[in-house]
Amino acid sequence: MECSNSSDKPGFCAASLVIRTVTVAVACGLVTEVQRINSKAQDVCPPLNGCLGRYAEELPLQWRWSGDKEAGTGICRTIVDSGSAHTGWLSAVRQKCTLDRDAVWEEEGRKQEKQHTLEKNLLVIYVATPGCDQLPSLESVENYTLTINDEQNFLLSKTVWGALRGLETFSQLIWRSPEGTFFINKTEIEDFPRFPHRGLLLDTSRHYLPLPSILNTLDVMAYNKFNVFHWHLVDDPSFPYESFTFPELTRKGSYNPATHIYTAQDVKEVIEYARLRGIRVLVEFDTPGHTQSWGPDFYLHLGGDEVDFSCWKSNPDVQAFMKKKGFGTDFKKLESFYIQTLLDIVSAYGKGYVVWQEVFDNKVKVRPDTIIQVWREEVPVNYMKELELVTNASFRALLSAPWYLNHITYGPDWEEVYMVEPQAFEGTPEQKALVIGGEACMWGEYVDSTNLVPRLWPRAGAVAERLWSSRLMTNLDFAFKRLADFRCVLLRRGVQAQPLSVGFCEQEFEET
Amino acid sequence: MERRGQGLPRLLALLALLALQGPRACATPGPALWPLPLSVQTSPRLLRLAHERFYIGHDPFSAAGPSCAILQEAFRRYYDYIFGFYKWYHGPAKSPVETELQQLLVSVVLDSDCNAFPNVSSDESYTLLVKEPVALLKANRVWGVLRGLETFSQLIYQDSYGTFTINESIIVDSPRFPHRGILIDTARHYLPVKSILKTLDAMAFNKFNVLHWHIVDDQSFPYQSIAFPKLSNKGSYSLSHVYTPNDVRMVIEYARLRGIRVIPEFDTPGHTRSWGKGQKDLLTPCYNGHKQSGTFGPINPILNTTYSFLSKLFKEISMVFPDYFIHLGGDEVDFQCWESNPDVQNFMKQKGFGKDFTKLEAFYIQELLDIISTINKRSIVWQEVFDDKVELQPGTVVQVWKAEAYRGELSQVTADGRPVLLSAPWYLDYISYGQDWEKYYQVEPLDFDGSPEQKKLVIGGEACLWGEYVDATNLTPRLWPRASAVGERLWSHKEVRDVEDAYKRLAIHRCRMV
Repeated sequence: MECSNSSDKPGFCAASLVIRTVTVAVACGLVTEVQRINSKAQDVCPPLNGCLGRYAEELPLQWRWSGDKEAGTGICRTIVDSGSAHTGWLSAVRQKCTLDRDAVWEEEGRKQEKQHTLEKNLLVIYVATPGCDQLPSLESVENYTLTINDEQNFLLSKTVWGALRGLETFSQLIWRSPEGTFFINKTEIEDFPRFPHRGLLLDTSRHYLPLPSILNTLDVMAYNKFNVFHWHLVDDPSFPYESFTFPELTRKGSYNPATHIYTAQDVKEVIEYARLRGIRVLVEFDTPGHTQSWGPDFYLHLGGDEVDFSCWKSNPDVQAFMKKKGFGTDFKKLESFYIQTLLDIVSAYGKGYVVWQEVFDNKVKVRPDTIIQVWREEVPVNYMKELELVTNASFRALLSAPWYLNHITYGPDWEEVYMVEPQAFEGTPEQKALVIGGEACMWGEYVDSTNLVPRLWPRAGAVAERLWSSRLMTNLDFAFKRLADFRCVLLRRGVQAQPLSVGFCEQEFEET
Repeated sequence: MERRGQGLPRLLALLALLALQGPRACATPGPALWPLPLSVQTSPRLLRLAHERFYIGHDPFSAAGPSCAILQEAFRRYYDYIFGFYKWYHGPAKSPVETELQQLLVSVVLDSDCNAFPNVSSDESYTLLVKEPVALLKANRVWGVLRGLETFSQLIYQDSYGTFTINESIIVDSPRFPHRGILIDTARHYLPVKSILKTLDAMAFNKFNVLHWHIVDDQSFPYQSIAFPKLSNKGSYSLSHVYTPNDVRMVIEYARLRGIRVIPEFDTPGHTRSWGKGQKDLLTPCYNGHKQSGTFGPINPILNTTYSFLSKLFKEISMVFPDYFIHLGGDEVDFQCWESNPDVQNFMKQKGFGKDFTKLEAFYIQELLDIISTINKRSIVWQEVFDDKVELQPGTVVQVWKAEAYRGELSQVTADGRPVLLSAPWYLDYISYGQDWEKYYQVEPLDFDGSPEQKKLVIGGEACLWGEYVDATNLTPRLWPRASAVGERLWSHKEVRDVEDAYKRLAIHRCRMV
C-alpha cells in the first residue's frame, strides 16, 4: 500500500487492493451471511463479526435510495467544508461528499425519472489481508474506502482495522427521515487517519473505575476512531492491579483489596474487548516486572513524571548512595539512574516504551526509539517548543498538554481543544513527521464512574477529530454542527454524553 | 463479600465526586450528619437495629395516623434508605452490640398538615430522642417529621460486623432560613420527569424545601398549557419535549410528599422568544428603520391583548401550581427592540415616559403584579425589577442574582423593607476545576450592612443550575454534592462553618447519596 498515514492531502489514495478474503453481507440490519470467498480467509473473524453485531443493533431495518429532493439525496463528490448534517464525525474530509442539492437533482433528473427509489440491503466488506487474531499495533493500517452507489455498496480495506473504521463511518452515514425511513446518500469515501496514535488516558488509581466503565469507554472510543487506551493503572493513592509476582502490592495498596482491584482476568478482558474494536492497550506502570504475565502492547508507558526530590534529599542512605555514585547533589542524576535501570529492565522484555516528558527534560539516556509524551503546557517551555525540542533530538512525540480534559471550565471548552494543531511548531518536515499523535487525558482526582462519561464525551471527540482528520479541518461552525449531531448519536447509543450548547436530541438521556 | 455497588439498588448513581483526599471516606463507619442539626448530643452507648424487626410507627398520641399518606410513604421510603441500600452481611461474626432499638415512634403534636402543601411558614422543627428500646421523633407538623426521619436515617451506620448501629442521641433541630431552594432550568435543555423526581429525592436528603422550576425561556416552551396549547405545540423543542398537566401534577405531588414546594417561573417580558411561536402578536416586532425586521423582542407591553392573554395564562398557572408564590422573572430585558418600534415610541410619548424604557418595563411589570394579586398569589421577581424601581406590592420577594456587589444589593432591598432571596454566589452552572464547594459553603447570607430587622428579611436562598450546558446527562453530578454546601448554609446554624469538618461529613454524605 502506497498511502502515507500522515499525508494531509485529501483525495483518493492510489493503492491497489487485492480483493479477496471475507465477504460479509448485511441485510435488514442483521448479519445474514458470512461467506468465504478465498480459501485463505477465515470463516469467522472476531473483530468484524463483533463489530457487525454491534452495529446491527442500530442499523436500519430497511434502507432506501430516494430521488426525493426534500429527503436530501445527493451524490457525494466534492470535498466537504460546510453543509450537511449527515456527514458524520471524523470522516468528513476525505469523504468526497456534499449535499449540493440542486446539482445533484439535475444529474439525477437527467438519468432517472423522479421517484427513483432503490432499496439497499447489502453492504459487502472486502478485507485485503487475511488475519483476524492479531493485536492492533502502532503500524496497523486503518485506511478504507466506502462506496455506495446504484450498482454496488462496498467497504474496502487492507486490514480488519480499516474495516472497523469504515463500519463506524457507514453507521454514521445512515439517517432517518421524520417518517422513520432509513436513508443513505450516494457516497464515496476514501479515509485514513492523519496520526497513527490516537489515545485516551483513563486514571484508575486516583479513583477506581469499575470494569464496565472501562469497557463502555472503549465502545465510545471506537465511535470516535480512537485507537489507543492509555491505562494509568497505578499511582500514589492506590495500586489496584493484582500482581502475581508481588501480591502484597495490591493487598496493601488498593482502596479495598476485595472490591477495588483489577484481576489478571479483568485486564485480559479489557485487552480483548479493546482488540475487537481495533484499540491498543498501553499500560502505564512503574514496576515492569508485573507486565510479564500479560503485557499486551509492544509499548509500555513508564511514567517518570513529577518526581519529588525532597524525600530523597532527606534520606541519609540515599545521600550516601549519591556520594558513592558521584552524583554530587544533583538529584536529577539519581532519577536518571533509576529510569535508566528501569528502561534496561523493560528493554530486556523486548518492549518499546513511552515516557512522560520529564525523562527527556532531565536528560535521561533513553533508547532512540523511545516515545516522549508531552504534557506540560508552559513549564519548562511551552508545549509547542517542547515538541520542537523532542523531535529535534529525533525522538518520536505524543501530544497531551492541551488535552487535559479533567480540567473543566464554563462554556464550550471543546473549541479550544479542537483548534490545537499538533504540528504547529518550528521544525523540518522530518521533525513534524515524528509527531505520531496524541492523547486526551482524563486524570482522576475529581473523576469516578459518577461523572466520567459526561465529562469525557463529547469533549474527547474534539481531540479525536484533530488526530484523525486532515489539518485543514478547522471550521468551528461546521465542527459544532457535526459534533452536536454526533452527541445525539451517542445518546441514542446509550452514552451519557453532555450537551455542547442549548438544544435537544430526539432521544434524550433517560435515568434508569 | 460482593463487589461494591453491584446488584444493589442505587439512589443517585451519577453523583459527582467530591474530591481526592478522602479516598477511604466511603468505608468510614460512624454517623455523619448533613446538614448539621441545631443541637446534637450523642452518647457512646450503642444500640443495634434488626432489619427484620425494626419498624417506624405512629405514636398513639400523635395527631397523625395511618391515614396520613405523607407519613406512610415516608416511613416506607426511610425504611428502604436505612436497610435497603446497605450491604447485607451473612457472616458468623456477631456484633458486640446487644441492646436493640426496636422502633421509632413518630408523634405529630399540632394539627398535622397531612393533606396540605408546604409553604414558606411551614414548621420544620423536630426533636429526636434515640434511646432503648424505642426512639421518639416529635414534631409540630408532618414537615418536621420528614426532616427528622432524614436525620434519623443519617444517624444509622453499619459497624465492622455489618450490624446496623445507632448511638443514643438527643437532637433538637430547626432550619435557619425558611426558603431553601434549587433552581432547575427546563427550557435551555429539557429534563425528563424522571430527572426532576430524582432531583427532588436528593433535595430531601439535603433538607432543601423549594424547587424553583424555571420552566420556559427563549429556547423552548415545554409547559403544556390547557388554555393555550399552541404555546408548547409550537414553542417546545419537539412534541415529546413537553410537560403535560399530568407530568406537572406528578412533580408537585412527589415534591409535596418530601416537604418541597414547587414554585414555577414564567419569566417575562424578556426571555420569551419561544412564547411568540404559539401566540400571535404577543412579542414586540423589531424595526429596522421604517420596516419590520422580521425579528421579535420582549413581550409587547402596549397592547391590551397582551394583558388579557397574561391574565388568562397566569390564572391557569395559579390553579395548576398550588404554591402561594409565582416567580415572574423580569430579568435582563433588552430595550433595543422596544426602542426601534414606532408604536412603542408613540406609547412612550403618550404615557410621558420620555426615553426611559425602564419606565415602560415598570409599567408592564406593574400590570402583571396586579394580575397576580387579583388571583391571590404572591410574586417573586429577579433583582432588576427592584433596581428599575417598579412599585412592588408588600410581600413581593426580590431574588438577588448578580454576583457583583450582591451584599450592597441585599442592603438596599432589605432597607426598602422587601423580603429577599440570595442566589448570586450560588450559580452552580459555573464550573471550575477543583473543590469549588468550599466557596459556596463559606458564603454568609447575612454578611451585609443592615439592621437586625433588615437581616430578618432574608428568607433564604437558592442554588441555581441554569441549563445552557446541563441536561439529564450531567445534571446529577453537577448538582450534587456541590448544592449540599448551600443546603447546610441555609439549614444549619451560622456558626457551623468549619470547612475541614464539613469536608469529612460531606464526603460520607456523598457516599450515602451514591
